[in-house]
Amino acid sequence: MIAMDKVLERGFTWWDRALFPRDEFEMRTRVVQQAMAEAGLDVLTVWSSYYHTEGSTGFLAGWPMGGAVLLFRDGEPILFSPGGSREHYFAAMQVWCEMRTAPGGIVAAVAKAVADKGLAAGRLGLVRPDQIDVGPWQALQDAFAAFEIIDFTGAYEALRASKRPRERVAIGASQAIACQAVAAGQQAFAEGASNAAALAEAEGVARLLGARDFRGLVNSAPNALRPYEGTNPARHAPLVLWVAVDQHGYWATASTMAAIESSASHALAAMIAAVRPGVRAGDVADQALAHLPEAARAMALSYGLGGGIGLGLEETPLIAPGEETVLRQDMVLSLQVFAQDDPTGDPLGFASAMMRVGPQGAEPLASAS
Amino acid sequence: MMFSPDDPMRRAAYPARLAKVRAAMREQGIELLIAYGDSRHSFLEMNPAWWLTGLRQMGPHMAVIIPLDGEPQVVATPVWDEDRIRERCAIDAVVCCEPRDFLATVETQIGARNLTRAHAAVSGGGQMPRAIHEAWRGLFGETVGGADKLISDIARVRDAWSLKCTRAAVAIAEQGYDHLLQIARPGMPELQVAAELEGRVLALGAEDNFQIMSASQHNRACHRPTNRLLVEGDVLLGEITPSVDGEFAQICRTAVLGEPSAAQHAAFDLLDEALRAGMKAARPGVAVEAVVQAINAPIAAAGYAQYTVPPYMRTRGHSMAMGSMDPEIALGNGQVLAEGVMFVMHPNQYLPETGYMMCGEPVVIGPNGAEALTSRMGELHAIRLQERAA
Repeated sequence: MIAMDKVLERGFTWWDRALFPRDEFEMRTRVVQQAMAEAGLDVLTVWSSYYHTEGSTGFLAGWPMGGAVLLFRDGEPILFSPGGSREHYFAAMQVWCEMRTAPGGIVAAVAKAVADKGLAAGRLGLVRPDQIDVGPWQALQDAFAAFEIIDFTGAYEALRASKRPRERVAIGASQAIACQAVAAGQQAFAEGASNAAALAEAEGVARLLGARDFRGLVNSAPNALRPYEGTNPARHAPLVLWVAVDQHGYWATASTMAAIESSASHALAAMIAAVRPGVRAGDVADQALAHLPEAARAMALSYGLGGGIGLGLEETPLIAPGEETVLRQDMVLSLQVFAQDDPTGDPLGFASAMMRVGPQGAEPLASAS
Repeated sequence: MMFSPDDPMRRAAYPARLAKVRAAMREQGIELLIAYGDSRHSFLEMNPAWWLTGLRQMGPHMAVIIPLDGEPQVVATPVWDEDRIRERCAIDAVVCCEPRDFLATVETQIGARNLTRAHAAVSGGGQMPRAIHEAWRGLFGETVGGADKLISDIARVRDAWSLKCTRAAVAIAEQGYDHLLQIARPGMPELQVAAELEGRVLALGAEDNFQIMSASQHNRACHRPTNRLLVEGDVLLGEITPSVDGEFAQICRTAVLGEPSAAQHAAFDLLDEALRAGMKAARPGVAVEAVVQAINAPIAAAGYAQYTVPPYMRTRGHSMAMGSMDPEIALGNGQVLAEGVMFVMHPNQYLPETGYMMCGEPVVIGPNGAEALTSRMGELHAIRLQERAA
């Protein structure tokens, strides 16, 4: 679901060492290094933008933080932070691996670390090179001119597409917060709040419960979802509210639910029934469309039918017609259907669910039960 | 409290901005300007697409296509957001498309106006993904220029609409901080203080907010909230930055949970002296380096010269984006202040006896110096626990 990014992540920031002890990251590192060896990579770099964190860096570093992660075939990763100084003391407490500041630029710092390792040439893998800005991209080409550069994004994202057990617990905890946020918004609306105020209430509750980041949409206009844009006294019933919550770097979604007999609910149920290991993501989307009236399909596809979720709000696989990605066990999916059966009259229908791809089919996450 | 699209000042502002941009295009020989937005609105990066349209985009791409003559055109994403886009966008000609169709739609719009061979320049304000940057080169050739400076040079002098939104954001920030002073008490986790402050700022009408709220007996710096419980004697740091119609405004505040010590008073008074010295020095035509020196002088004179550089501080101030990140109040910056520029001036920093403290005001440069936009300057607030208990 496309929603409004907050200016910066600013909520509860804390590394839960009981849930994610150091050995979790050592195991992840070994998995990635094994894949590097199989692909013949000598060096791997994982990139994220400065201001908004990216799940691929968080997967190795232990906390979703802007910058770049450097990994050799042996040893532990190194996180390079673009910030310099003041923030370093606190930020370094949130990651398990060594963290270095890079006031002269991350590419230069990474190149120096690679040179210090004694590597003058070889195969360099990049994950999310799209996150590298134009200037640093050229600097990277120059600094690693003797290296063969390989886009390793697809292979890397496949490594983390199925969620590890501790990750599923973290997602479940985020989902619990998301559900409570929706309930708080519903209560506020029932007590007379406007749709916009219900969304603000949901965000406030999510942050009180430990959300680091929050996204939300509500029907503050007739038959359309909108972001929070300040106070707005309008009330449109029924309340349709969608929220996404990041707690400890892991995202989850929740929403108000359409009537059981609505097209949205039928389409969601059809998607859930289609989910199992080995099924193409596009086939799951087709099941949703088969249960929607023709007039409702375009809008449902524009809002999106959902996809993988975890360290990113939108991860692989994307649930959309024609998507060839095959579902694998322990992927976590956020499925949704936004449908208005008759655009000239029906109220909005929104139905959503978060499911784990279990061995026999879709299973609810533990915390949601 | 996003203002109504029918607000008279708002309605007048965007055509005026467009006219200024076109005048600058004409001067610089630019036939086509594209202002790009990637939906991420950070107060640390300019957002030329929002500044020109009044539209807070939700989709991942937006382009404002401005030919030297003729009507401007907006291409925005996604389709399902079209009603809101049309309501908020100050430019009438809008085409909505899905994100995957964005570049093709822009190309079609430009082709339809016979502008593919125009001398083009693009402003993305540092937000442009590399793929989009390369797409402009593919469309217009290697000679496509950058237009960030063109936009920034106009936007840095705030117009009446920008200042109206900024003043509204300042009022929200001050009320939010007042709320923090009312609720903070021992035993409350930092995250609760931050969440309640956040909730109040949203309820007051900010569409977004950046804040840092943390506390310690001796702060090394400010940071995002943790689950640490407040205790008596803590120094609370708050950087509160609400946004109204895209204009962020920041206040930096320090409070003590209990009675401040003499050393804490002395440290805050020193930072306050530095702030006032900076405000007095910050006049039109003055180099920002001179303002930094004015801020640092009393701190250095008190024996803390070594603490006037990172990692004990970050910067002495900065603009809050939308149209311009100019000025940055930092050494090495060659910018010169102009009347009407607005920024937060903040000699926030670490001092060894008391730890990090915050002391900063949003200011606009007037003929006689920097004028605070707040209703009252920050002070070292004491959250008196006995009064709280009563």
